[in-house]
Amino acid sequence: MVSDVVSLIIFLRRSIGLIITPYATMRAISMEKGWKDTIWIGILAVFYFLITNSVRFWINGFLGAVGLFMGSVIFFSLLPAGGDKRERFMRMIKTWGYTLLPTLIWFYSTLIFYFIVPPPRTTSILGQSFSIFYIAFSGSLLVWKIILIYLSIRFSLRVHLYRVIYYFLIYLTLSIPLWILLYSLGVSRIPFV
Amino acid sequence: MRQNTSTLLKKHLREVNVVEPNDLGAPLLTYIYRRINIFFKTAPFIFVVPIALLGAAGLVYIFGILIIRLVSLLQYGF
Repeated sequence: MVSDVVSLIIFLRRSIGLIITPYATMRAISMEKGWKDTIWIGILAVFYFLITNSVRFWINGFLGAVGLFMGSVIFFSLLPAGGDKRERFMRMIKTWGYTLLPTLIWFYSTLIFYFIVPPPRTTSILGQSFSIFYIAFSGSLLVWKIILIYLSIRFSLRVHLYRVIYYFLIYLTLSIPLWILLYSLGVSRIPFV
Repeated sequence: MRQNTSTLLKKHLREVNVVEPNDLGAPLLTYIYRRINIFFKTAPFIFVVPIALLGAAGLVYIFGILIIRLVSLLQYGF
């Protein structure tokens, strides 16, 4: 129980740290031995899918998200980089887990907006204002997500900028067809990555 | 206290040296990269949010109904 509370506090501190000082916080996450705080991200994801399953009946959404997460972690761990594969895998699990923070915030807030300001949007002043806010909000989270992905690959694999870009492009080349497949199977409209 | 400070400093030094600094091959590129990187290392939202708001307003102004439809599409996307 005490260790659960401690891990929750560590998780909250790191989440705030990733907003204020993403570079130093992600570097610290990649070096720490403990992994319990990462479980809270999993709990938040499970809770999200429990809500959406009752709202939108996406039963396979959670399995799809777990598959994408594990697939991404294994893919990056197997790429040539510093340290052995097991070390890279453990670092990648922790850091890639934290890259799901912007995803979780976006999905939770979209769920809330769905009920507060239900779509479709209109061309009225209020509709346009909300559209500007929503695009800016999503764009900011996307930039944060890209920063966290860059730092996750950089500190987990201990590679340089060019190689981070190279690895990420390979990842996107393999992932985009998979996301389209998941969409066509009705698993998720927007991939939970 | 001295030992604590020393331990903290050692830990910090180890953290700082965990990855080699990025070298982009050309000194000018490395210099530009380091100048830009400063904004992403600490509190990136301070400049990301205003730029995103301006960009979003610009997109709505230029593309109008297309962006509003995109927002509707994204709202159904959760």
